[in-house]
Amino acid sequence: MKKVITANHAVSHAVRLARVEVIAAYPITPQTSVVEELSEMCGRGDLDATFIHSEAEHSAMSAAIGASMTGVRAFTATSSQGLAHMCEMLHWAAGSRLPVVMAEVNRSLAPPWTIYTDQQDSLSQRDTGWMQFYCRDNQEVLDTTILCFKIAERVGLPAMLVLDAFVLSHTSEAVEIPDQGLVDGFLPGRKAEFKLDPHEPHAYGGMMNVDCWMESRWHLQNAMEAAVGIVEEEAAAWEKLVGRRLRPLLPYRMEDAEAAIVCAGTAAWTATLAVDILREKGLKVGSIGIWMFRPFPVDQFRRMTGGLEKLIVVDRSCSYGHGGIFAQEARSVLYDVDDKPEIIGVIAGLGGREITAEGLANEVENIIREGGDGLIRWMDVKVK
Amino acid sequence: MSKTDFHIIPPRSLDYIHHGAPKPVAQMTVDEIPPVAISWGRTTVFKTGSWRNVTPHYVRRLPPCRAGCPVGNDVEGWLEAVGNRDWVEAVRLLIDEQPLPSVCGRVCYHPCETACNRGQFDGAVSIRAVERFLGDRAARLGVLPASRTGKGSSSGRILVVGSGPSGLAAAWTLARLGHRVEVMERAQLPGGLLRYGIPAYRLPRDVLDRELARLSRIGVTFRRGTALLVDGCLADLRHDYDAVYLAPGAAGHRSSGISGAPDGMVVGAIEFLKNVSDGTPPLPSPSLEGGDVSLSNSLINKKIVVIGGGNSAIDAARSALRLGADVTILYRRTRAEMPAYEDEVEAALVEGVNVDFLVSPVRIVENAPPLGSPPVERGGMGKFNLQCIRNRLGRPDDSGRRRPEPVSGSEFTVQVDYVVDAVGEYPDPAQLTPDGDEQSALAAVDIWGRTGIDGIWVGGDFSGADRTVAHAIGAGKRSAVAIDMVLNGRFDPSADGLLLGFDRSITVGRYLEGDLTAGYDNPEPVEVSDLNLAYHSHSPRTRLNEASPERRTGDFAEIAQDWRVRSVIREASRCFHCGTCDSCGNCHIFCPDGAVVRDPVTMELSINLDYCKGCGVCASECPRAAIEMWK
Ligand SMILES: Cc1cc2nc3c(=O)[nH]c(=O)nc-3n(C[C@H](O)[C@H](O)[C@H](O)COP(=O)(O)OP(=O)(O)OC[C@H]3O[C@@H](n4cnc5c(N)ncnc54)[C@H](O)[C@@H]3O)c2cc1C
Ligand code: SF4
Ligand code: SF4
Repeated sequence: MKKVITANHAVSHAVRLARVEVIAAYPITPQTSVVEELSEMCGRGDLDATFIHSEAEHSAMSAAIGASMTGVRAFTATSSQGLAHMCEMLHWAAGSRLPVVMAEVNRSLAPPWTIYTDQQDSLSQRDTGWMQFYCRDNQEVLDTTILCFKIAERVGLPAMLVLDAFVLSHTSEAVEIPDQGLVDGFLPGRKAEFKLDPHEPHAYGGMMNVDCWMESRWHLQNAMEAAVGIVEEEAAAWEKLVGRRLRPLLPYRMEDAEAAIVCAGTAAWTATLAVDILREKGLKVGSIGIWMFRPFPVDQFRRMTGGLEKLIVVDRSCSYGHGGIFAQEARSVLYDVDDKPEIIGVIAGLGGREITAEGLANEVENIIREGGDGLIRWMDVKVK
Repeated sequence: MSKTDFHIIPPRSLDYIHHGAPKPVAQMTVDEIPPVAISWGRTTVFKTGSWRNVTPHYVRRLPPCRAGCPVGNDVEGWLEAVGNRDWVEAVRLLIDEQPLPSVCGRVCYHPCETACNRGQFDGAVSIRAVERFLGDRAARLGVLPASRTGKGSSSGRILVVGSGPSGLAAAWTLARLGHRVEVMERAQLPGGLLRYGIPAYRLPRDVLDRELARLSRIGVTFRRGTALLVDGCLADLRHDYDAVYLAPGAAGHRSSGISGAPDGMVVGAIEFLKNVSDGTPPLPSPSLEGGDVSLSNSLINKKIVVIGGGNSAIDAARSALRLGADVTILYRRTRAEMPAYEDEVEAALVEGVNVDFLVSPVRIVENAPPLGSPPVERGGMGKFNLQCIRNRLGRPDDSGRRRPEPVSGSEFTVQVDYVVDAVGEYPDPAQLTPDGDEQSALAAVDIWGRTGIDGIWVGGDFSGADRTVAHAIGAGKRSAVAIDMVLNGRFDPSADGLLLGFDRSITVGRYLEGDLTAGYDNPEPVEVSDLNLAYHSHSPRTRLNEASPERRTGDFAEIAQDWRVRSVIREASRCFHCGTCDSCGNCHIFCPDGAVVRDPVTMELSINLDYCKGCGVCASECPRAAIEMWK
């Protein structure tokens, strides 16, 4: 069934279709309507889940973790400061290998106070052991949410689906909502390999000594590496069912491209429009949308960028003192590749500043014609 | 690692987990080490119960509503039953402790609601209104209370003097316990102040009659129109009776001592109300008026002054208003000191009764011109001038209320046709026996109502400090149980196991079952701070609808309107169930050791002491204080 809904409500519908059993959340703009809608679904009986209104995000994540430990499917959602507040428990979820799924609505971190979008919040949690998926539109949000449960449960790691504040969260689009039967077939109930069980009681989360702690982290990295293949498998299976294609990287007009724009979230759609403008002008530019950021699709990235002259990486984040976070990733992944492109890092769209197709095309055209300038370039910033 | 055989836990590790590690971790390969911290083997080996120094116990604690009810009603019990729509159980629980539920459901000053913990949350449960509904239902269905079954108890012959609520409660209890009970009543109809005092707009007489019918059905007999006045001595009654319960009320009339009043112009409030109840014109005396007067028109265009600040004053004033009079209450202190119940005062004011505070009447100044007061208004109402004086409040007296002191020079007069004197009643033992020694021996010596005369017991307004229907009933029940214990040779005046709450009310239900305890593990009433309010959500209190002041002052029809079943259930469902486990399972959910076990069939909860480490989380998460940590 097609419905005109916001991306936040697309999350709610996906969670309902996934038959999530425990939802623990604390409201924060712009995430609120995700859980508001879910609480109503629970209230109406459309979803048979325990809904826990926590006193803050740290507790929301803790409750989701506790629920997940008992073997049920658990979900939460947050944004910005809320995510930062969860930080300790993000590590806990991953270290306990729990398939908690979280919707993260990208909002800049204060201060200065703001509620608009950029990717600083989710990217500062890069090293927590969570898988991360960035969505470009409302349909992708719904599909990604369902996929996240499947992937997380197979890999045994938590997964975060990330969507832009307002540009997606509060904007309505037509979204195809799959039938329950279809989703049930794709995503059966969770079968936990280990769980808190009063009939088989074990202690979890205790001390691991120096003779085995490090091995637990070897397992974690191992799982992340295995996840790349699992994601591709599941995305292909989903595509077979619904006819919509998602892959770790989403290329656009890359066949004969000499330069490419790399970015994630709604900016990745904008980039395809910029590509069309640049192609009109005779410039052979394509774009690569990053859907899966963790684990990073290293091989796919190398393959897709091999032979390019220029890679323009657009970051809605900044690792202050260094540069854009995607740009760093690109540089490190391509460092030991022989025919690597010149990599130009562009910081854009912080704190919700709009990235327009024309503005981005203009920036890219300047870079191509005049050459990049070092590690970091600020697009659209007021300078004297 | 291939894509398809990916496992979160290496399969071999699972074996280890269930059966214990086969070799030292140092010798394991990475694949043999599980990726998360899981104990090798089960945690059941850790008997965390050995850490415990306090132990949780499921307890029944006394709910404050019951502690506050002078009758000893099992309020929480019947609210629970109503919430479950179990009307049979609700009515049974009520009728086993309460002989006059429809009466109390209307006129009781509901100390239960004052004590109700919900009052400190979002408004007390409307307990009295639920009792009214259940009482009416019990009467309609003709439900009778449980009675003593089986042999082995002796049956006595008992005389009850006075058919007010106290006498009725004693008779009801003794009849249920298998005794032959005879109620002697001076008036023509039984009920005491329920019939001759409390006005019908608060307590319709057919409601009272229905409750009296139930007493007759359990074998109580009435001797009406017969006053007890023993020529010899009260002790002689023991020749004919095994025990005598005296509940003649407080029938002595106090006067405000207005001088100069012509005959019939000043009437006592009780007499006034009795006349209204009888259907005779309460005023005037024939010497003052000529012509035909009926009840309904007797006070039209009359100006009535009521003296006093108690409930009789308010009832007399509101009754006079319904008979067409213009009514003013004069009270010598301020509203804050008024002994009348707040709701009643408010109702009187809303209906149009005037109240003048800090005023005392002095005397009638017949035919004298008004002193410094406005000229006679309203078509010549007020034939007489009542001289009054203003007061100010001085130091507190014995009752703790500030004493009124007249302000000299503040005299003024008011116009008046009749004065209703409602300054108070007192118990008058002279109405029972002419013997002075016996009169003084009639004071109660303990809460059981024993007196200085063996086998003679007293209760109700005659002996009690709290003069309310519920206290009168409570006293009757308590003395009746004591009498039964005496007759069965097992009375111990110091044994208080059956006594409950602030007024030491007694549970007849438990006594009938052969129990000598009230059935609570902790008799301390649950306080609101004992509850975990986080688990209770707000919902506003519902009240009975009332006829508007304009409509209701035209007659004596009942003001309160019947409730619908839906409202009763909703209101009963607001009860917190203070101190009673309702199997909500919070303890089971929150116990960090999984030591609270729920039987999957009976849903009953219990504590597995092998693993309870005594942390007390169960007790603090219990919404209703039904778990206590004991040493
Ligand atoms: C106007 C008024 C309104 C009230 N309103 C309320 C109210 O709303 N709520 C409330 O809780 N309380 C109210 N009260 C108080 C309440 O009515 C009394 O506390 C209660 O009735 C006392 O009960 P009792 O059985 O002790 O005495 P009573 O009800 O006074 O009954 C005593 C009975 O004994 C009989 N009697 C007396 N002497 C003899 C004798 N020698 N021989 C035979 N019979 C005798 C009397 O005729 C009477 O029937 C009110 C009181 C008054 C006066
Ligand atoms: S008798 Fe009075 S105090 Fe007792 S439950 Fe009824 S209204 Fe409340
Ligand atoms: S909440 Fe219920 S149990 Fe508690 S005091 Fe009120 S009526 Fe009684």
